[in-house]
Amino acid sequence: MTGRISAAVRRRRDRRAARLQWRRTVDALQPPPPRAFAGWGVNTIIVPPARVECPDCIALGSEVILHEHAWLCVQRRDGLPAPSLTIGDRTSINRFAKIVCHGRVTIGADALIGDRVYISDVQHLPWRGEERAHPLTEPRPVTIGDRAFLGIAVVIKPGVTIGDDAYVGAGAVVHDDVPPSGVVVGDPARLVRLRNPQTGEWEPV
Amino acid sequence: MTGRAAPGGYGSLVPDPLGRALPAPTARGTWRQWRDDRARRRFLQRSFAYAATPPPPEQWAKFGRAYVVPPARVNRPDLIWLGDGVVILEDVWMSVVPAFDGIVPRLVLGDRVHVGRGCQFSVADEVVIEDDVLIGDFTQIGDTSHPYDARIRAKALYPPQRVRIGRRAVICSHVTILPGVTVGAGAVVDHHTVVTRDVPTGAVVRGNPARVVP
Repeated sequence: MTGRISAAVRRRRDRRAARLQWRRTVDALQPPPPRAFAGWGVNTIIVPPARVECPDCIALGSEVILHEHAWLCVQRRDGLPAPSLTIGDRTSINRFAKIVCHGRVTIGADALIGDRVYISDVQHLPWRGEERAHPLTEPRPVTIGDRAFLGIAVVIKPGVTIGDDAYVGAGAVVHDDVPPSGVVVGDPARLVRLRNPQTGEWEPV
Repeated sequence: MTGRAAPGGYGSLVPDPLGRALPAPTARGTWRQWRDDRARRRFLQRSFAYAATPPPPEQWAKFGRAYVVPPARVNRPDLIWLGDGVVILEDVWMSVVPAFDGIVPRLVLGDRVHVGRGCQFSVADEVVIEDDVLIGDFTQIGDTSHPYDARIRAKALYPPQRVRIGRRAVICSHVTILPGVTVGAGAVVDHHTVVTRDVPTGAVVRGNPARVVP
């Protein structure tokens, strides 16, 4: 059959197929529309190709920006209530960040979340053989305060609370709670500075 | 908030002021919502599809025999120098921002520099990468950072400190290079390292913060 049609027809057909394929690819990379979310403020931007799962469990505030390749990995699990991820106003989530939420993750307003940050409220357990895959722990809620700063490649473990105004340095792995206005660095994260509320100075601990 | 549609079908963090029972959202919403969504989607699609294409060679300050693989985010190509034989892979973000008065930032990549996927250069003053440097995937190099003080954190930046990476250095993947760092010629920075101080010539560093491996 292909031998019967002319080269021009075949070229046009190929071009149409390529355009359709491109359209499908572009559509697949688009984030869900605002009305699919549980909350959507004003001027919120999701830059494709960011990945958003379960948008009906995600509430985004105003002027949130989610950069390329950021991944809101919100998943429903059998036997657990619906997960909820809340992101406050003017928070920005940078590229390659991943937020895993099976229970409750709350991010305050004005927070800055750097590149390649990994926030999770569950963990995998070792595979002992009787299950079909690596089992997951019960979710423990993660809270990140207002105006908190998470630097590049920070890892937040389940159950951690990061206080308001806290500063988490690049590459920190946070296992314990961070007090408000604390500065933590390193792996495992250790508290190095704390702001004195009287003087407003950042004092070494 | 979860699992409940906000007033008017569109989500909102503001609860319904009158506390009325809300109508069940329809799958497609109203015609007006569908049209607005489509407009927004097309706008984003076009703007980012355009932005993800690297600018043409004549717009760069210098564009030697370089190759920039799309998608790449390059906001000021007129402040970026690329030498001969430079290869820049996908998803690189070269953000050169004139954020300080009287400082014209510049980003200089020497000859035969290889930049991996997902790297980010955030430049407010000067970042120089000399010849024959290898930079792995997901590496961050910047000459400013956000200050501790939360009141000005989101807007302000620390005064920039210049970053320089010497000839033939090897930066492995997932490395973070903080402001003011000079990596010596021929040094090796291992995977997942956070470089906070200068790296001597020919040294091998590893860890967070980076320490010289004997």
